Amino acid sequence: MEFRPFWFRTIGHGPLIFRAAILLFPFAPGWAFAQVSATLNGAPVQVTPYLPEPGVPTIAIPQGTLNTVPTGSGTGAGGASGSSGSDALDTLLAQSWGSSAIANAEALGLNPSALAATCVIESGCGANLGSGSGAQGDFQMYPAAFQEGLQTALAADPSLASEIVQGDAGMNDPTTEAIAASGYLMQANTALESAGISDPTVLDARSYYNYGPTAGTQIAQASDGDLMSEYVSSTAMQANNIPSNETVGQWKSSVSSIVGNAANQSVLS
Amino acid sequence: MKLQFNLGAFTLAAFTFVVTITLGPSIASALTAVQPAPGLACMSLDSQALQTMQQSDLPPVLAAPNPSAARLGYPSAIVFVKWPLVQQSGYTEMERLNGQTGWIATDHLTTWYPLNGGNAKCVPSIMSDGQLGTSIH
Repeated sequence: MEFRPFWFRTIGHGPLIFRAAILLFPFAPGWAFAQVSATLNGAPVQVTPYLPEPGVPTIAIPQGTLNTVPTGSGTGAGGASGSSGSDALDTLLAQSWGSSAIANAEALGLNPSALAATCVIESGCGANLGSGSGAQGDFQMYPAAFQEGLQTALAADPSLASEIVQGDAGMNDPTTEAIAASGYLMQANTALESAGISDPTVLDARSYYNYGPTAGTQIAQASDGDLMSEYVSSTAMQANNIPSNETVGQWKSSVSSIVGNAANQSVLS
Repeated sequence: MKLQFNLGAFTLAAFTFVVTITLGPSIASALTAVQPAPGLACMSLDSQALQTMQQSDLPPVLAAPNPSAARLGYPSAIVFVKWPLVQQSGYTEMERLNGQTGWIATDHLTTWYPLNGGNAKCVPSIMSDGQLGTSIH
């Protein structure tokens, strides 16, 4: 019996170009290994006979097309239509309350990756909770923003009232605070659109969060080479630990490095 | 039989290549000024407006130079006014970030200045995303 290594048996006698491609595949650069999950919308590639068999009707099977699906959708919470997967979403999904937070965000029409990005950048979704300042919980919201966000979310979907913890305790209940943060992101999206920014991104919303409705909306449309200090007051620069020589592009990159591929996604789903 | 085997290998190879989707490193898409936006100049909102944290507290951008006109939205920190200035009934004609023309109360506008106190110049620009934006020189 002829011995063949396993890879040769797998590849067989296929066309040379494909054999070469498969053999070289493990040696491709690191970025080539980044993959996203995919489903096939329809039938896979079919074997088409060269000659029709007498008496057998001709059946045409349309070939399916690939759909990428959100990463981390294994919990069943992140796969709703219109939502987008992201690294941040995986972090949120790893929390015990992550699935309900994502489901609630989707019910509000919010891209769950936008909520996940906020959670990741504020506290690493609970891993880096600060103490001492007025901001609380996994989303590090201040009481005023918490109340505003909660009101916005409940106005959009009153059924969420059954999931919230009433009173100040709600700020430290992740499910409740996630609803409030979702509402606040909806506010940010509305404000950015009111300023004339079409289809605001998670990064745009972050700018609004940190620097408010005037500077925040302006930074969203500022050239990357400009200095942050030309747009943001010295008080706000210090409050957000922004070096005086940091450019808009550097600030955006620093945010993107934390929230990953959620940064350029739309705030709404 | 041999034909079947080859087709199987072909299918495997094709499926491997199609399903494997490569992704580059996640970086924010750079926003750059493509060209100056002609006929516009930068002005700032007044200091009181700049400090507000509620967008609804800002002077609205209206569709016409009168207080009962439809509200188009709210300004950002830098207001792109038409240049030379077009003023009427206490309002100044401006352009929103999406290119839409509007009017804003003149008494809420002031000469633009960089918040860091430098000598930079603000240039209203058409950005790489096709919308209006700023480039500070």
